[in-house]
Amino acid sequence: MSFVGLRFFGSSSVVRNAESIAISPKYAAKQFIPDNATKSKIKSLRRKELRLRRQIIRDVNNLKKQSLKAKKFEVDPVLGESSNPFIKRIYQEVEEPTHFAYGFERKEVEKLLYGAEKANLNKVGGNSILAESIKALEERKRRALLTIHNIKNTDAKDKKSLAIKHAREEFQRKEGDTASPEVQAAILTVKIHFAMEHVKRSAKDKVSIQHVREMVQQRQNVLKYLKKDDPERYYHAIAKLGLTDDVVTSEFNMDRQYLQDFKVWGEKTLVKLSEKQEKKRNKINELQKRVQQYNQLAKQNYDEIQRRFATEKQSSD
Amino acid sequence: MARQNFIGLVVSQGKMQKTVKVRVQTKTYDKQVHKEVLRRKDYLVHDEGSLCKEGDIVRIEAIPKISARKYFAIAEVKVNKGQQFALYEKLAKEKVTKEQDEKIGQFLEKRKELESTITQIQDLRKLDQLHASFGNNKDVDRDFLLNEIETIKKKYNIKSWPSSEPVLRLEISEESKDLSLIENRHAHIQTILQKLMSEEYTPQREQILSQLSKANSNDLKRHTIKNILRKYVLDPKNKCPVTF
Repeated sequence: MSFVGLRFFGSSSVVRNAESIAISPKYAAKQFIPDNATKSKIKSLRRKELRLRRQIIRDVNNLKKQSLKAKKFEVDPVLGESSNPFIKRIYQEVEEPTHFAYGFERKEVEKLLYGAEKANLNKVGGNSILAESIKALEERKRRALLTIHNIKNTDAKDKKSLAIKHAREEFQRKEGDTASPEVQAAILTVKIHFAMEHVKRSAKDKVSIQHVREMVQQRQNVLKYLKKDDPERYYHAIAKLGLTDDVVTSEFNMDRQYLQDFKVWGEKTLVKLSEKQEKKRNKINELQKRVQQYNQLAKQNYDEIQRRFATEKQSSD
Repeated sequence: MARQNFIGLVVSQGKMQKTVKVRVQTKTYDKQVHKEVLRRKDYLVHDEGSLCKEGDIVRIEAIPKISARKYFAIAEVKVNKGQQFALYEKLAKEKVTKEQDEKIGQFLEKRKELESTITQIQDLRKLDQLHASFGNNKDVDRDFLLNEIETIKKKYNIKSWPSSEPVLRLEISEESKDLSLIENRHAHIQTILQKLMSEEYTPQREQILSQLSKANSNDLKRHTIKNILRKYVLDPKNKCPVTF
């Protein structure tokens, strides 16, 4: 039997790095023949070893096949990669006090208020008492406006439209671009994120779930077109949105299996397996356990073989 | 005998070492329906350098059988679309991380801008107050007040206070300025275009055309040139080359 991954440097001891060497599970079949074994015993042990080897190869390959079949998405196909900087930035922008409700900017509003105050003061002329009262009134107005139009106090719809505006401005090819595929995909992504928050809160709202489902499909379609049309832009767009190529190109439907797998409503069983499916899953689990055992045994046997090799070498020296 | 040759699409890569799956499409005549139908067959193909990526179009060539299902090898990569995609993916990730820093910078800049505007307005209010107390109160330290007023004026480059010129720039007033400019040019568009099309203004015209059109200016028709010039003149960002 050959010693995979072993090296000898002159007379120095065996160089071994347990992590870097992948021990083949075939070592699990190794049968150690005792010194006092009879001929028939040796024969039967050898046959056992061969049989086990075949079994191990079959099991390992079956498990590999199953794991390839049950290929998972690289990222969440609806929300994309978690902690995606673009989405984070959008949420931050929505909370930012430089923005006012209904598409106003605080910078402009402050300037306008100052202008209005000046205009009112000009009307009064040099009368200092009246001027003081006007100043107080304008200050009160300013405070009221800052509270009412604060971005924190506005409704969800307004926040969403602000988020959409920012997404559009980040992805537009030129000023005024509202419908290029990447802009559409970005807007849909923002909408999906906002709608998923609602879905998480209210599991029984089937209509909004369907709405999100449609938007995810729409985004896939738009991005697929972009891939065909301009692959460079496509890869830039998906990298920015936190998606991957497989999420866009492979078939996906936001079904109950997805909602269960990605724990949208926490640990909740939404899809019940049939008896047949249950049996199949158990079988695969058993196979997995078996392969794990092979690996453990292989490691033990490998160490044992090495030990014997070393003592043999010492005695021969 | 010549070796068997096919052209196909790489459909799977990276699952086996030095092996890719190539889909070959052929037309065969179907005797039952009496017409040509498309047939597809997937081959496992040897790829010595592991060069191919999913999506490449390749030419494959028959070789002596090297394993149970492998008897073809990659002869050449005809269209390296898959490799190009992999490159784009890599470049996109780098670009996005670079953009991220830039965007954060812009975000912070906006905050700073707001702060500076608020302080400017506060200073202007203070200026108003100082100016009023300078006029009304006789018993205050006049030198001190004058000094304060001067520093604020200097800070925002204000020549006189109260001033007739706009001190703060409003977005809406900028737009109205643009609008008046466009209206004025629109009213005189005929005379502007006539002058621009005359020989006197040839260098200006050539410059505008080289900016806005890809085609050679000699090949353009008269009405096309006029349209391009009109578009240029009606954009408020551009300076009108003609006096009217």
